Amino acid sequence: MRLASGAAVLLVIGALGACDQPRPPRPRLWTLFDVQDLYADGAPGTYAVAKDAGLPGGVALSTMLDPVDHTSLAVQWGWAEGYAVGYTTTEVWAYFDEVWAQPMYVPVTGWSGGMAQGASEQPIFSVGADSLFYSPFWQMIYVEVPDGTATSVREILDGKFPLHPARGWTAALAPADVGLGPMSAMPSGGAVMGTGWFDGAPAPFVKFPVAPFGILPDEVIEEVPIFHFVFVNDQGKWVAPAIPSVLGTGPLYAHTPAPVDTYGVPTPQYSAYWRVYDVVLPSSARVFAPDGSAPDMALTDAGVKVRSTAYGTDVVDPANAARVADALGRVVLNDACFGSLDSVLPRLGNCLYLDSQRAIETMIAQNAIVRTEVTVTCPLVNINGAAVTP
Amino acid sequence: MTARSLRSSVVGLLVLLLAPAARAQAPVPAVDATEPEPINDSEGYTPPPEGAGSSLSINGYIDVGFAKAQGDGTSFAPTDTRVPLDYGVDGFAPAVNSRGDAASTDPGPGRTVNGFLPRSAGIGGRPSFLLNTLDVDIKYAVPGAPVMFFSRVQFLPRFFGLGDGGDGTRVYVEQAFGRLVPFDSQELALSVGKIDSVFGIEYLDNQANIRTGITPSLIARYTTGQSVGAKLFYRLQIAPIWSALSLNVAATNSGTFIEVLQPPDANLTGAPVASGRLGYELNAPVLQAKLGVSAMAGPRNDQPERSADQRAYGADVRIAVAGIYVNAEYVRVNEGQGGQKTTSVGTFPFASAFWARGGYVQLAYALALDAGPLRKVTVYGRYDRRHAWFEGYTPITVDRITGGIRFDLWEAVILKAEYLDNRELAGAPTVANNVFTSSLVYSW
Repeated sequence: MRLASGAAVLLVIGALGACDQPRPPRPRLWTLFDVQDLYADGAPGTYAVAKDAGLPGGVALSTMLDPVDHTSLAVQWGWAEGYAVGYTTTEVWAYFDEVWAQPMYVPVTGWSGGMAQGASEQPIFSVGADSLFYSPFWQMIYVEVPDGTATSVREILDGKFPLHPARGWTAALAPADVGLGPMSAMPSGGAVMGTGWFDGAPAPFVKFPVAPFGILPDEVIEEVPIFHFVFVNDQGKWVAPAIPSVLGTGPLYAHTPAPVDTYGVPTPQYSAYWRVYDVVLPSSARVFAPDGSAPDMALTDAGVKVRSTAYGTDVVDPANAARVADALGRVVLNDACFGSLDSVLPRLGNCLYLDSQRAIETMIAQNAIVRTEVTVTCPLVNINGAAVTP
Repeated sequence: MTARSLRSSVVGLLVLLLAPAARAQAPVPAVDATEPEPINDSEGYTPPPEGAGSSLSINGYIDVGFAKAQGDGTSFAPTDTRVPLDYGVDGFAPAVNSRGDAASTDPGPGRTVNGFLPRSAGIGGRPSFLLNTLDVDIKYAVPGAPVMFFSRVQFLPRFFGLGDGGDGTRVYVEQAFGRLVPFDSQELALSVGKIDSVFGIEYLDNQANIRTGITPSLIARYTTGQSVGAKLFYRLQIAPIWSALSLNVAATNSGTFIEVLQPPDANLTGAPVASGRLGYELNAPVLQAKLGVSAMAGPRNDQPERSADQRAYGADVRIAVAGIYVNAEYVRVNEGQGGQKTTSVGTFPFASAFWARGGYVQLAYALALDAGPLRKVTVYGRYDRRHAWFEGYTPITVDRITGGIRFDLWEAVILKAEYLDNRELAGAPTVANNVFTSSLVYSW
């Protein structure tokens, strides 16, 4: 008996000590609350989240909230259909196959002609930011109830009030002091701070006006690609420098039309929910980044040695800096066009920039467009140089 | 409950009542004299102590039910579209049988759940007969050796429900183990295999032929599950003061959660879950009292990460005096966040962090009779309360008032009927999810 017991104990210890089988990564979500908490714990702006999910270097805190004041939404620069855009990042997911729209109730005083009357400024949210089922994509439901009468989902549902499902709404639950900062790098707008309710308690949020997102069956949010450029450095390692990314219009190779108005002018009505794709550039790729420019510094910081030697003298002439500003950070596969000012100008010259989903799908091999496990909320706050309006 | 549905329920109950009477002319099968009353601080209900006679015995029972739940048989509010739907309600509330199956768990089209639901009887809000369980127990005591083997196989005919359709019948091995009692002079037993829980006291009443009432409590989901592993039971009798101390400890794949929440038949993390109960019992001539404290700790077995731990603590008491039985139990459950969720019914996005506190008090009075086939009448009532929340989700508080009556006929037939008044006190939307259920149990 004693011998058998000893053997059993040894067997258990041996089994527990045996090599552990790799486990699937745990899904993670970082909200603006988490970013503030990381800053409060002393993390620098270069500290990155979602580092192991396929995007080289992950997502730096400084791309979400200002590393100095910890309250201003960082505005990043990107391209959409060749136009410059500015966007913020309010949530980062790693290893989420999907995220879901949650109901959000907006009290209204009445309903007439299919229109809400007297909509409240204080929506009632159904899920808190601590939940992995949280997303800033809400299915807005107007509810005919006097403002302030109900502050929780239970009160809404128990009250049997008339409900009117409406469109989607992008609103990130956030610390009360978070919003667009006064010193944004580019004209930015559209983000409105407010306070709603969750479970009877005040719930601050930042609302974005125009970010239509598709809601698939089972409340799943439709994802759209955002392309981050990746270089292979001398050690063969993938590096993603902080140069502008490219916002897509729809699923890969679906050739989804860009959102434009009736005159064909681009609008900011891009999705706010993006799946990050790495675009692994061939060694011939170059970035329009004359010495001392912001993209040049980003490449240097990332240790990427892809500096172009093809710039014409008029291209790097400081007198022409304003004319070429719109080309800064754009990527080409053949930099011969950097030799003349006329060629460099986006949409006017003959440089074939990778500045739209269609351009990437056309010029980059399919196996070099790599899906990552990172998804992000990135609503637009600037379109083609103009601030998005609320 | 509407008048029409109540009429349906009464008709069903009458049918069940008449059934044993019709069978009264038939010979009654012999009953294993060792079939026990539920005795706390034993190693669990099953198997009964080895008795004289054959070393091989086959026992079992058939549990036939009739139930009617309000609404659509779930706890989901029709206009609730949160994701996941099962986080904001108590899907276990509309239970219809001793296994804890709900009348329905169907969330309806376009609504998403995340694996925090019981098994479903698939009857929705319609009154229906049910074959809850066909149970077959086989026990073999090795002649001349302190070793016994036991298996409990259950046949569970189920319907997936309207819409999904189809047969959901399962054959389920609920227990299968060998037990070694190494010393004649000591109450020490080592069991290895698929074994009963050791947490609290409600697992002792898992089976329909043992349980006083019909449905399990609102906390049974955390404490009454079987799992694969090993357990050790030791009891020390202190005869001069009519007392005993007992210790029941186990290391298993999944701890004590029920199988639909954590799969017991494989270890998903590679580390065992420890559980145990320390008990004291007083067996005085006029009063029996049993007290215990329980704990469980280890990685949660509904996901793959060892760092996602689960902890449960509980306390229980049973008092029996003059035909009155009082059972009470309290439990606290904490679960850390884990990876992708895997249960016995499928995979789900996440194993969310979760907390629950709850308990129940049950009062029963049994009147022994000798009126023809009627041997005992028991009336009982139970109050349950449960407070629970998933991380980032609305905390909910629910309670339940259960009232019922039980008739023991001959030694082989039990007829039970009970009503469950489920109430959503906070967090969860108010829904019509009360249940009338009944159960006719044939033991053999």
